[in-house]
Amino acid sequence: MKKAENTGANRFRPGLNRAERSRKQASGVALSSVLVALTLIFSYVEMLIPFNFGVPGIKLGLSNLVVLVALYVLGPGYAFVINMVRIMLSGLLFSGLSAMLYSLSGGLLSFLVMLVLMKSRLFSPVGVSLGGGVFHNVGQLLVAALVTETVKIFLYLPVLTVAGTVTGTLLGFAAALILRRMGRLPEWNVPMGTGTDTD
Amino acid sequence: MFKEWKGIIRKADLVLLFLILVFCAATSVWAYRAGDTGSVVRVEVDGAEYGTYLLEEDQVIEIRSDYGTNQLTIQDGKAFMSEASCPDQYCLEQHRSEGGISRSNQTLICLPNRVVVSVSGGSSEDTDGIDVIAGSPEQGKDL
Repeated sequence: MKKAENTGANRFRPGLNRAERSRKQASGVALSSVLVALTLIFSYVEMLIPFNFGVPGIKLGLSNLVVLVALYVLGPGYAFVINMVRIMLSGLLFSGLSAMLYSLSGGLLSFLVMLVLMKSRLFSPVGVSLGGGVFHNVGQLLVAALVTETVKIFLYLPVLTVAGTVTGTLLGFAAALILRRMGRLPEWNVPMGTGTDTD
Repeated sequence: MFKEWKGIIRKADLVLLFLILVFCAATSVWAYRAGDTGSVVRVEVDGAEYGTYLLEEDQVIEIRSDYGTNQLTIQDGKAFMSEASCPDQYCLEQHRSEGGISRSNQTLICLPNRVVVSVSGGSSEDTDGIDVIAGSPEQGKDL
């Protein structure tokens, strides 16, 4: 089995000398900003697709794919910053401040859930993305319930959970395929029925 | 093409998926149980009551607030949003395929304008002093 040399854990290993480390940091910052730009393009493309189910919050969430891949490749710190900057900028550019509140709560909760699921080392990117997708919608509903002061808003929970499950699974598969091509699927990510597959 | 998709899923993923689906089924039963047929619609703006209107009367209600305007139409015992100043216009689609809301577990919600329209005053609930006979006896009340 081929071992990936440059996995997330030893990317910023303290053993590296100073110059090497600052070079890595600079490349991390540069890559993050490119990824933020990519999420904004994804948000814009999604905005162009008319998609009205009568319930706000149902969309593919392509930008979450970027955050998910960044979580594995760059680590939680960079992924968190990418997520926050993405929410601020797309809120200012596209959706407006009040809608930004919803994406902020959804984004924070889903990031937290994805981080915990990833750190548990039990889930593949599919499971991580699935949990993130579902809790993104839960976070949005929580804020919506607070804003309107209506508990009845949770009647939308089943619809949003199903939507989050479908989009989360699809994006998780996409992320897993991207990570595998990059050679960045963590080595602890042992899928079911392994041993037969020689890659 | 799908050959590449193999060797990704892990056991914990399936467990998580199963748990989520069970949760979905449970909340669906709660959300889509046949509610009582109500007699009045209650309109709330930003958590404060705006007014209550009889479902029996056909009427058009203008809901004006600092957040925007909505037009609620009551027709044939059902209420739906017919116009809204909000940017996303989601509220116009809600329950439109069924002709509107008429049961106590249904709502019309316009988040940008903070408008919540809900049905109350079913046969079992108190009718807030409004003495009306609730519409038709509801079908499939118990699941």
